[in-house]
This record gives sequence, C-alpha cells and structure tokens, in this order.
Amino acid sequence: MPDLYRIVEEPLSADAVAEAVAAAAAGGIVIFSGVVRNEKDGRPVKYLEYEAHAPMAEAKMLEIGEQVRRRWPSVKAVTMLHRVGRLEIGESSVLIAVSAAHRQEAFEACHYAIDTLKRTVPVWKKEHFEDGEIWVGLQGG
Amino acid sequence: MAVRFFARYREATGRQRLEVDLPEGGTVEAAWAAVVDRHPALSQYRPFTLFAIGNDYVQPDHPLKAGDELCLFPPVSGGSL
Repeated sequence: MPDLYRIVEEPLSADAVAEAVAAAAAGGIVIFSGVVRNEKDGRPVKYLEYEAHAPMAEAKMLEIGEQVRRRWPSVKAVTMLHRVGRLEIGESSVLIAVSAAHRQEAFEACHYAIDTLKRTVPVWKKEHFEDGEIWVGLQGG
Repeated sequence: MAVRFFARYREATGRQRLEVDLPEGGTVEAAWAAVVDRHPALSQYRPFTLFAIGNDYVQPDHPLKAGDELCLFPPVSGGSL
C-alpha cells in the first residue's frame, strides 16, 4: 500500500489504518489516536469542531511522511488521517500509523509525526462548552 | 488579489474571502495592512498569524504576484491532546 495522507469527514478506524500500513517486512505497527476528551481545565466539553485547509494540510502531512522516511529508513509505511467537522467525546480526531522493521523506529517515527503535525498542519479546533465556545491556540480574543 | 480567512478569522470578519488591491510587488505585510484596514478587529492577532500561499507558509516580506491567493491562519491546533 502507498503512504496515505488525508483530511476526512467520516469517522476514523484504527483497524483500517493498521491494515493500510501492514507490510510483510514490518515487525511492528504503532498507531497514535488523538481522542476528543470530555473536559478542558476542569470545564466540561460538549463536543469539538475541526476545520482544515484540506489541500495544504494533506501536503504538509505528506512532507512529514517524507521526513519520517528519511530519518527512519526502516519505516515501511505511513498513514496520517485527520478528521474535520463535528466530533463527539471519545471519537478519534487524528490517526497516525507507522509500520517498521522494529518497534523502536515505529514508536519514534509515530511520535515525531504527531508532534510535527500539531505544529505545522493547518487544522483548527473549536471547543464547545455548555456556556460558550472557543477556538484553541490563541489566548484571549 | 484574493485573501482567504480561516477558523477564528473567518468568524471575526464574517467572510471567507476578500479582494484587496495591491501594487505590483506588494508584500504579505502590505496585504495584511489592507485587510486590517477593512477589518480592524483582526489587528490584535498580527503576532500570532501564519501566512500561506498555495500549500506553503510564507514570510511577511514575501512579495505577492497577481493571481496569488493569500491565506490567513490563526495558530494551528490539530490533534486532540
């Protein structure tokens, strides 16, 4: 399977991304799932909304995948999916799957991919509370 | 040229796009100034704003060409951690 980098509107499936990165020469698959949690600083969250600049987000995720492959040559396959739209508590907003010959490379590459995604991929999150809403990433306003 | 707003900026301006007139070779910074002229509420966000053209981030001193579409991004906040 070729590497896959997508912004999607449908629910994400960890099983599907595990299958997408499966490779005969891979001894380990690491999957990171970012999940919508039910509180922010003790304030109950009702649901989240994600928005993306989809073409640029997919291009930036592809860049991350290329960096991963340069840095960890034993990586066999990479998949990065970010969901947009309204997400409920417990749903997965981002899935990153990496397969590699050995577990250490798979863990390191997956860690690098999610940390870099959060810094560079144009996706925005809005938290909805009982008594208001706020775009994350900027204090005040 | 065209300017596109995302997330908080789209809500703050009440629009997704704005056409601004810039002289040839005008910079991203000049486009920002033209936008703030129309939407002063955005001025407070300047230190946090990311600029992009196509699929690439650009710096404030980047010169703009006719037909460029400049995207204004608040700080990104993907993932769910």
